[in-house]
Amino acid sequence: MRNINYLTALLSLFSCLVLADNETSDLADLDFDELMQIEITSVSKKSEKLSEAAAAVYVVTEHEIRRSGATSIPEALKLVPGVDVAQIDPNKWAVSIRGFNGRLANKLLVLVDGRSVYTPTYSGVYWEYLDYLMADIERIEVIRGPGATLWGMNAVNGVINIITKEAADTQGGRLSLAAGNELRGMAEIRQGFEPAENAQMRVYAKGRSLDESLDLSETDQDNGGDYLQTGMRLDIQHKEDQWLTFQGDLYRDDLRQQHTVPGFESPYTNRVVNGDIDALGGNLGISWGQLRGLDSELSVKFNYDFYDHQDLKYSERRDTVNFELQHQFVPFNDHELVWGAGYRWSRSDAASSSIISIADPVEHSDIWNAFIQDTIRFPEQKLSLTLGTKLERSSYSGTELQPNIRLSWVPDQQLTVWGAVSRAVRTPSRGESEFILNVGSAPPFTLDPSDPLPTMLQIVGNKGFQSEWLDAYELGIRWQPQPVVAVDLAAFYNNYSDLRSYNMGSASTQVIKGETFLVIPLELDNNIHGYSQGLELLTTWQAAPGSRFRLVYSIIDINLQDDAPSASAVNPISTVAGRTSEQLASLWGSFDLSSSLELDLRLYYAGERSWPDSTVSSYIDGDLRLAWRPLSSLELSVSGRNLLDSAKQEFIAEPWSVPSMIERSVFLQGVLTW
Amino acid sequence: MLRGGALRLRLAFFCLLITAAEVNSAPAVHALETLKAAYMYNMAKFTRWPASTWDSPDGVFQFCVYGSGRVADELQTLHNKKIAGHSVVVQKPLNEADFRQCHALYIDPSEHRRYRYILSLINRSAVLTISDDTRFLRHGGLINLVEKDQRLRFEVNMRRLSQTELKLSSKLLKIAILVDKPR
Repeated sequence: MRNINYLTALLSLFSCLVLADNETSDLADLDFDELMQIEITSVSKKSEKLSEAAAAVYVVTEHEIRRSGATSIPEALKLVPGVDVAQIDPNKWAVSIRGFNGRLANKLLVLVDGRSVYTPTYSGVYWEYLDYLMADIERIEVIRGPGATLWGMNAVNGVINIITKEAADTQGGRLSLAAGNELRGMAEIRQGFEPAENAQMRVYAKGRSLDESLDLSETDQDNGGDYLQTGMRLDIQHKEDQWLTFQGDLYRDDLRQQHTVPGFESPYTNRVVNGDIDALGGNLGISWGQLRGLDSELSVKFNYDFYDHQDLKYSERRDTVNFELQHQFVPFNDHELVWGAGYRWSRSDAASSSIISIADPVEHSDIWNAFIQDTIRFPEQKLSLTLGTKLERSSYSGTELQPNIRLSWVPDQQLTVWGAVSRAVRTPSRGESEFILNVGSAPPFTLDPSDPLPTMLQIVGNKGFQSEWLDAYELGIRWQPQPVVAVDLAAFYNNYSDLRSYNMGSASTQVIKGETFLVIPLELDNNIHGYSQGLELLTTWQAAPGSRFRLVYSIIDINLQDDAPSASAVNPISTVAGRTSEQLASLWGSFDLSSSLELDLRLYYAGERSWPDSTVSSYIDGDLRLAWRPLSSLELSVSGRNLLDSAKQEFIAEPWSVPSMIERSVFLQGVLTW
Repeated sequence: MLRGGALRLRLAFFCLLITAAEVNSAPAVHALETLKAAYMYNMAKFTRWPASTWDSPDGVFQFCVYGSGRVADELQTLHNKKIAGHSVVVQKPLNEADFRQCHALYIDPSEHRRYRYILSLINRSAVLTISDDTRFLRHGGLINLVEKDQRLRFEVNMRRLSQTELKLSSKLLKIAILVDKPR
């Protein structure tokens, strides 16, 4: 409650600051000598097409990434409107949009340069395996709400599109070194060059070492991590109308983690075990594009992607190939048509462990899709109508249709009002359809005082598990009342059906690792339905040429209902809904103290999260970054994270995790370019 | 419950956030896009087109704008102003043939894929081509608006300029950032 009061005070203080004047003289009548004296600001570098988009879109620019001091992608997503980012332990993050957060949040699709990095094994994203050079990211497009018509399955509550720079924009060299207490060390190097005329290339490498976090009794955990990633990009412009891109990345991560695993022998209690996560992965992509006239663009993309993940719980090697074709053109005046088709094939080879058992190690899956979308403009009414649908078929589910209809009204440059109705689907993961998970154990006589057998709780995959569905209704307004103030407000109502539920099956005696257990199975089913509703607000204010404020607030209310509740130890609804902070708020001030000195202060709030047997309290915390550029080729900075508490817990991951406290972090960084 | 120390730390942090803004209070802000449009108008004023460009003194100056965006909208305000004694008509080319009428051409950065293609459609020797994107010069454009030290400046691709019949005034070149072969 105290936190809420504090937040209210903060908001009112913010709003009573006086707005800057807006001068409206005709600049075109001034001459160069005068024009060159005018100070400029970089208020909005957003692509204007996005400000008219009929969707809740936010673009994290390279400028924002740099000024946030982010050393990884989840850090760059912190404070983005409507994005809930919580750190689980030094290596793991929970990131989601519009609720349903988790270590593997299954309703958020994430792409890097159009390549999906969402794993179909567990439905989610391993953020730790996306260790790109932050300086090579051009922008991160964050779409709240369904994006299934264009991006396909699992783009249910949102899409995050990470777009790296073209090689031409990363010419020359860049070396960055950082050291601190939590980020123990980081080294990044990149070199860009022109192998031929009309061809640009870059190669990069990045290494990071992360310190351990604390457990709830404030003792060091054994969960640090060492990361290594390298990659390249080659862009070739061929004639006036064609381009070709080759991209590749390779990573190797040696991480440590703590898990809580069931006790397979006396005394059969769950215990904490330390272990390695060894990950190796990479991808290779070729894309080709052609302009077929002013209003017609054709592109073809091919990717190969693999990862090899090994830890105590499971090992998996997955190989995926993906092919996509897209054609955008103007068939008639005021119509913009885009259509495309794609095919993905994937092979997963997973090994059982004492914790996860898998009947058939090898599984092949494939997905094909086709989509079409037309944007029709009505210039007189200042309206723009988008109609589209995707047809998709995967081996985990049948054929799914994911349509959307969007309308935007842009009466003038200052105002956009939009609305959308769309449908999206979250397909079953491999884990949900066939894995058996030993989630936890209990000693004899604890659950049932008369039973002499130890108990094992199992989650049992179900081949009959179906897709989850969403029908989403959205309404938004973007308004720029003055050149220095912009407001973006979005409201949504999400209607979910067939969400994952657990049916407690009848207990049976089974021998696991040579010991007899009373096994209580939780079988996956689709009995949960319900809705969520919420508001997301973003306000930016350029208070002066060198000071900019950004205020973000979001609130969500989730109401789910289980049609076949069973008296299980795990209540699936509270697990899903409670993990989400009902309210998120942040205030980010960016100040150019002089032409070579930058200061960024970020204050943020996250509401309470609850689990069946524990809660993570709400918190207010702050980040700071001070950067000095003594030469145009050198930048020195000091960054602080989570400065207001020495350590705090932000999240609890899914089964088997051990809660961690994330510590205050400070690091120094030097960046040299040539 | 916040301990006294933790609360003080939060307050201090917040005060810093607010005061940093005051240190910075400075004069009124112009929309960057307005300034860009003013720059383009001034550049055109200080540029000489070949004598054969206009058949009659009543001919209009076609300022072409490709792509949509705030700068493109802002350029509409140049309508009916005078460049080289000719009235400005701001025009959005809709098909390939329209580009042949342009005297000056601004391309919005959102259309960066089309830079080369569009530049292949114009009469390269007599069109002042401008954008506000570092990629533009590399793809064959003449002028790029850049932000430098909180001021707006512009780069001119000298090699490309020498291949045209356009003459930029010495005043213009003096304040420009000259780029020979941009990377």
